[in-house]
Amino acid sequence: MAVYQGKPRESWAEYLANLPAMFVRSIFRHNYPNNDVDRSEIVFKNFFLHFHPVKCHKHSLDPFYTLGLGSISTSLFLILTVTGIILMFYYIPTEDRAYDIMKDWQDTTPFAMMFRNMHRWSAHLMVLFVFLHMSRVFYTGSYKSTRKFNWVIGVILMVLTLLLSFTGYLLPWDQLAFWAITVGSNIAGYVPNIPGFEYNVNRVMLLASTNVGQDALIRFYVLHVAFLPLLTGTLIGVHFWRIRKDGGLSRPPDKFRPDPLRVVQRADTKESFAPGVKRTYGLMELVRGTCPTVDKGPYNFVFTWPHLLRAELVAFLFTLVLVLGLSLINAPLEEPANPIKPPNPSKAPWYFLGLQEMVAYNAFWGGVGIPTLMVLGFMLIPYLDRNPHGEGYWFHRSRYLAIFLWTVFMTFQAILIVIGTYFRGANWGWIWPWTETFARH
Amino acid sequence: MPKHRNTLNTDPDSNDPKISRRSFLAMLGVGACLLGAAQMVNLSFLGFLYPNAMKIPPSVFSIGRPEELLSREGKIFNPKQKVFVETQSGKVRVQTAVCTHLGCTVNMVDTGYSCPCHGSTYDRYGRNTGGPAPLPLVYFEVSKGASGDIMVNKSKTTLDWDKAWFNLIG
Repeated sequence: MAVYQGKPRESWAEYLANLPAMFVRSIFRHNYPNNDVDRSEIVFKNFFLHFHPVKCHKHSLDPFYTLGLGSISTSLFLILTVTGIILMFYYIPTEDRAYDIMKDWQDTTPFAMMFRNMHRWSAHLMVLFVFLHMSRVFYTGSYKSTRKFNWVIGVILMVLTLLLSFTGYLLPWDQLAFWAITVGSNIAGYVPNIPGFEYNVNRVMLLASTNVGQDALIRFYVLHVAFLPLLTGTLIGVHFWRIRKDGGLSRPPDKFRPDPLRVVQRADTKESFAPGVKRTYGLMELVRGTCPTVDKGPYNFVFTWPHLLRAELVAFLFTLVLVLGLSLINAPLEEPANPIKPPNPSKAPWYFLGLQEMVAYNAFWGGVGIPTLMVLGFMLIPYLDRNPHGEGYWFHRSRYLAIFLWTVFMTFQAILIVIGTYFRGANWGWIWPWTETFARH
Repeated sequence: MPKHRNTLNTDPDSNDPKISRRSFLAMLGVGACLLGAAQMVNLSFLGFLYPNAMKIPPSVFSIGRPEELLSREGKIFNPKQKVFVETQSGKVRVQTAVCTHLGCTVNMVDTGYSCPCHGSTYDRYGRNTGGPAPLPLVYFEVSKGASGDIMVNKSKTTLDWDKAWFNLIG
């Protein structure tokens, strides 16, 4: 009688024949994803894909719902990280070297201008797309119910984006940089001081001195290349993780539910499942309800591989092509920093011109008070908006007041930026854009 | 209180405290330790980022020999010290050129001074007349130093434009 004696020892010939397959298997823990099991395993077992869900709702893939704005912002952050690290190989944060290195890049270093331009325009685009993404989330009511706190994290990410941009444009140490630090640190000086400190502690913590110089440059450099990117990257991770825990992107409830009697409504994700086997299970403390379907997936869900990954790739490639195209335009560089004389007019990049316009009315309220109130107001939106309707719909009818207020606010900011860009001339006086022209950032 | 809590079996009528006294006290202790550690980290950061010795330019500086100043008339911008040096019939007075709003260097214009960054305007005495500037431009005390140079002391200021004059001849 034949008794199973275990797997026979393979011969050297067999071992060598299996070696390539074994080697590939030792790297990848899954087979090529040409079937559903491997499509789920590749997302589950691959480190670089595992922050995705295995399946996602068809609605999340609709390019006319999300417009890909979040993916584009993330792509820009990745491009900024890579180009930024490349630029760090040359950049030295000293007063007498920083500007010369920027100049040298123009003539002596192949591709340096390409990377600097990419970095520069990606930064500007990131500010733009973060605001567009924020508006998309607002107009679709996506900050409601379980996603309240993710909106708050998004507001923090917006502030971090602006801080990264600010600390970034200081590093070339040209006129723009020097006077931006001067003005920025003076705004910080309007934040109330801690009693008992001789100089305003907020200002000194930024400048390491009472006036702008070498000590300030190294601080802004460390903030720009280490502190703020790490914080931003971590919060982006939390932002994504919370999207997954909230059951994907916001969407309206499914219109068609396959079999109402057998549908399991999961209280935490609001997914509706297709009918499963007619048996009752109780997966204690894992799934609420008594009949989780075992042979069918959630209704209207598709595999991440390839659908979601393809959408992300399209967003990334779109961003990359856009940034590469823009990198043909040279990033501006003003004259070297001159502590004696600010340029006239002395203008910040466009995204800070609204702030500059407000600061031109009152330093404390324009530079500290109103921006703080604006950020706090943004964070409070999900807790103030008690309307439960409209989650997952663009411009839902019941949200006319919220949509109106947001649009008015954003238009007001845009008007301030346009005024700051085109209607302000020498000594920040009012001009008409067709009479005079100035360098714009 | 049951030994193992089961989230699916929550009885609203039970007197089961949500957290035991033992856990509460333990968390209080751990929380106090963490808070203390965070305070130490915060204080060390604050102290580390606020140095005791900073590179601050000296508050007393020279603006030249008296005969040099006497040889000219009118208001001249001194870029190194960011001050306006005004000479008139043997007298001199020194006024700051740093905008009181956010620290840009102001420009001389027909009506007085004007700031290029946010549009603050001052009259010819340095009184803030428009824009966001909260305070007027101050005058600094002028004196004759031991070396014979005319010295300016930035730590002693005045707003009185008549008393700010320093007689070079006397």
